[in-house]
Amino acid sequence: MSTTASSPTRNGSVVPNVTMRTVTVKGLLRNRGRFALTAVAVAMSVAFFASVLLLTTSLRGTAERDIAAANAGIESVIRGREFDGELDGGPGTQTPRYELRTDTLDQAAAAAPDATLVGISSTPATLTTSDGDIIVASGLRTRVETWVTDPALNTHHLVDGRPPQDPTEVVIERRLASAEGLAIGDSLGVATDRAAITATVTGIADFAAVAGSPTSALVFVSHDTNLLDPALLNRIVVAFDDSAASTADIETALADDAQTIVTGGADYVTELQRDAIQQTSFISTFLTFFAVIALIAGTTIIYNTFVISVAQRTKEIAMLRSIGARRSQILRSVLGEAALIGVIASTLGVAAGLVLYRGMVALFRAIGLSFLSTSPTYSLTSLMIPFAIGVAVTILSALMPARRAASVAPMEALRDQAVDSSRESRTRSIASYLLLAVTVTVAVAAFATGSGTYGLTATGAGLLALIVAGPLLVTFTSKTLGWLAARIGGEPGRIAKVNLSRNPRRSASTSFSLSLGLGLMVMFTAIAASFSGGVADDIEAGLNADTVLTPVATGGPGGTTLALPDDLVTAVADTQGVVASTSLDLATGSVDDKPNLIGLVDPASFAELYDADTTAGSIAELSDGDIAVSEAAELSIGDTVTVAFTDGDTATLTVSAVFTRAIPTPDESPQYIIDRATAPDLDTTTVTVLATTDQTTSTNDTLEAAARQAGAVQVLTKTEYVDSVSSGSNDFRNFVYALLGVALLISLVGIANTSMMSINERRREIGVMRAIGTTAQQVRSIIRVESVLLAVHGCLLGIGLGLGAAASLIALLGGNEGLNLLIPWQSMAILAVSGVIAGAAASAWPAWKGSRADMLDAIASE
Amino acid sequence: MPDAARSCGADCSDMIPVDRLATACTSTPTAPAAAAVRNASKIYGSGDSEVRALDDVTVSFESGRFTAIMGPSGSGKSTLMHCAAGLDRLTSGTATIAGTDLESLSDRDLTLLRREKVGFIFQSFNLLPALTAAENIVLPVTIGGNAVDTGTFDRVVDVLGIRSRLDHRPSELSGGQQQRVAVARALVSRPAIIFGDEPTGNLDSQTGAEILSFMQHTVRATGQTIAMVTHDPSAAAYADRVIFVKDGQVVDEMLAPTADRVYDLMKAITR
Ligand SMILES: Nc1ncnc2c1ncn2[C@@H]1O[C@H](COP(=O)(O)OP(=O)(O)OP(=O)(O)O)[C@@H](O)[C@H]1O
Ligand SMILES: [Mg+2]
Repeated sequence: MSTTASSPTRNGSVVPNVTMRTVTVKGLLRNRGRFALTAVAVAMSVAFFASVLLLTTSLRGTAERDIAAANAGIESVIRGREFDGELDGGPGTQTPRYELRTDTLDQAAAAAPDATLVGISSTPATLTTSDGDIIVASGLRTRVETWVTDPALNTHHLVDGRPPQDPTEVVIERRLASAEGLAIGDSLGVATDRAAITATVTGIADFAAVAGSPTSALVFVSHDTNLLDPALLNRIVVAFDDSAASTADIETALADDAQTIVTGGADYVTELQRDAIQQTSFISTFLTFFAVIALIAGTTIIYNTFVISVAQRTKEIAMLRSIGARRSQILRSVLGEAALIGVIASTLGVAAGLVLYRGMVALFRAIGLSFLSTSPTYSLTSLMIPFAIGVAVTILSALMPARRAASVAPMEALRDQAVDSSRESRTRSIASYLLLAVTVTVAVAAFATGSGTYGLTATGAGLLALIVAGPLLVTFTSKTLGWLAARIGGEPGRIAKVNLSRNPRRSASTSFSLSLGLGLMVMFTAIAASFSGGVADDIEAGLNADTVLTPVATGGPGGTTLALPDDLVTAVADTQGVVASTSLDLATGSVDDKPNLIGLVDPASFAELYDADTTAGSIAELSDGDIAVSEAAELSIGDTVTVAFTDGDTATLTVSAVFTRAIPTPDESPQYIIDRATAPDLDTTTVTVLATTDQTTSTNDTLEAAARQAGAVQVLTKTEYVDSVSSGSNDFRNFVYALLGVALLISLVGIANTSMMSINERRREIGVMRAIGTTAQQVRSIIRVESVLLAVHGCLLGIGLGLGAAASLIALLGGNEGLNLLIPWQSMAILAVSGVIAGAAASAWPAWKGSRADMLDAIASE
Repeated sequence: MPDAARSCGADCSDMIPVDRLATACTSTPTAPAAAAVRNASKIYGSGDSEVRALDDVTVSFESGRFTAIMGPSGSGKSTLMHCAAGLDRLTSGTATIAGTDLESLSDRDLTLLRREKVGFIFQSFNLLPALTAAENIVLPVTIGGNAVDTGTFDRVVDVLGIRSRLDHRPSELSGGQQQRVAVARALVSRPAIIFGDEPTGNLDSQTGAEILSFMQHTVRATGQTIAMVTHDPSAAAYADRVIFVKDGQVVDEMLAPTADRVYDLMKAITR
């Protein structure tokens, strides 16, 4: 390099050696603004991608490491056997297991004489502070478990204080302590379906190296607690110590018991790790999905930036060509610029990703999703991959514009530009019209037939049309919406309208990412609304009670279904002023060998307070040996089904009623209902209490008091209850919104970016406009209207596609569950309005910048 | 208004070197000035890099006259024009358009004043590429929400011979046609004064001559005021008056110029 650098002339002046590289670098430096905008787009996409990757790898890494460490001392585990088959249900739903009873512990102990065997009981619990506020442990399920005194068998170890020694003492996980500001000596309300107590915190415990276990927030109690059922165990953990016995011996001893299963320590750890990863894999998949969406949004921005920057430099490039630069040199120059930007921006992006990662963890915790209980792992790969993707995407995005740059004819140097005069290619416009025609035709067919397959085809074609026919659609919008803008906004509106369509390709790709992000948001909203809305409508129609008692939800996705204590059911029934009451219990079991949720009721009182709308038979007349099934189960009166319960009993039941309405539960609605008398000894979970009351204040007060006594129970009126059902699973929705928000943010940056670059490009003409009497404010409104038009265009297309996708999916998936598309007009309006506001916001800086364009610059002859 | 009217009569003796004092002050001492600057200075930068682009200049552009501004490159012609037209602000001194002092105006009011009183013809045409020729022409009027005077529009369009091109985009027009459109744009709002910075600099001499004679005709027929910067003595010859600028100062003036006389005087100045 230094040999070819510069050569001095005879009389001493230095002749610089100007290579193409010099031109590239100097060009970049001179156009720092352009450089910065592209870099921001790249950095944002990389940052999002990096943070997601960090999140998923650290979720996985810590889960594996910590679980292995915490369970190292456990050599054998005895649990209730799982039901065969997959339980269908949302994330977090677990396959039911048979009950494990204390007598199994005795049997096993006999088989392994000198070994240490500890039976652990565990049950969901609600925690309240001393003020009576429910602790929403970062969305984790809160559980009570027996404290294991043998350190080798305890997954937790005390970091402070001492173990619980009597029924009023508890040890809590450190994250609970730090999140709630609880210290040793503080009191804590703990409620299960057996009892509600006020306990004293005597110790703080850690799970392996971290502050809490991966899936639940735990509170530990002594063996003699009354919060847990003494006869029921969750698992038995074994350390053989000096014993000659092994896992195999226990297995042999329990061989006759088909409802228990013995697992070796290593297998147990593998299983826990797998479960933990599976629990987070749902979230990982989701995150990755959105990272890809964000990357697509980012790529369109990067692509746009290069297209514009090449357009802006057409003259410069043509000049270079006319003085002898070869096409390949121009190509390399543009790609070199891309590579440089890619490297710098990706580095920044990875750094920002680290920050964003912390932010995301905080955000997820704030909205009640804490899968991220564990500490982060930073691996080199999780930083290198986003970096490499960032660089690659930048270079690839620049490839087409670079080729266009290389094809600039020297002639262009002499021409005035700033308008995309190149007509769309014939093939493209034919394809555009064809795609639009197909979309419309199939969509009409879908409406006519109600077929989800047609709908999905139409949506797919629409998405393709959005890409191919984008410029055509922009032109159309400019003509229609633009006309409106011109009517309302006067001259600036009219100029904005013209500007929108002067570069339809650019406008189209700018709005594409917005359509994509918003479309997905609309799709999720509509689907969520349809699911919970359908249930809400059913309950609204079927509920004859005026008061509903239901657990306060404290969980994340999959949620906690806390049990209502039996005492509460009696208390409600005994309350003066309660005319009628009934309760609904849930149990897991299998129906014809398929794991399922089963509702247990007192048929007469339940049917009185809830009309499940039977098409055949009657729930009120359900008796021992009968079963009522939902329409979706596709069974008819007289069919028989075999039901297996978790306590090992099985029963052959005859279908005596078919109902169509959803059953009021906090989570999933059971498809089967039986008389409680069918399984009198089964350990079930009471989830809903319905009551008809005299509706006086005193009755309500009594109920409220009983609810407070029981812990995390809310007393709702019918309206309140229906509302709470239709608002659905907020946690999940918030989560999706948070992610889509990021994708939308990126597309808004895209709008700002494109707008900014267009302003740069149009500095001259803005200057002229200012000179001949356009006020700064008019310039601002032109730019703002342009941007808003583009945002509205993107939003409308996005909403259209999103609704199309939602309708099709509902038709496909929900058909047999009798789901109908419910369009959440309110959310839709909010989304549309915020799209417009965001469009205006995105143009704030460009508008300001544009209104300050220097008139003298503009009119200076070149 | 009285201020502007008085300016020339009172101050001309300071402004023009005595040895070259021609017929300057005697020309039309009472004609009202469409635009004027008094004791105008414009300094770019500061300290070592300070450039005094205008140095205590006083000049007025009287109504109904076609004034040409000439001078060597870098002498301050464009700066003078920008400041007089309200595109840029003076460092010191005053600038007026149709009697209104520009210094006291806000950016918005200045813009509104330009919209109403000033027209521009630029060297590189500077039409808005997205608008058609007709749209470009009416823009100064419509941007203010006003209705275009169709009579004026028709007359201007016909005289300039661009009727058949009205629906074309600038990129579909020749340079000469574009400049005609630009001239029409400057005229259509019937401004108090039109400024042009080398308006024919990018045109061939034939087309340039057509445009210039149209400008001359407009001044004579309608009393329009035009001030134009040019490097070309034969272009300056279309004007009623030529002022000569050197090193930020007005150094001479010539009435009823001819190309030869202007050429000679320019040679004398640059020497
Ligand atoms: N924005 C600016 N910053 C600094 N100096 C400037 C600026 N604009 C003009 N100048 C300087 O002011 C002086 C006058 O410039 P001006 O553009 O008015 O000259 P001109 O007579 O129009 O020249 P030309 O005939 O070449 O167009 C020159 O020395 C120029 O370098
Ligand atoms: Mg100049």
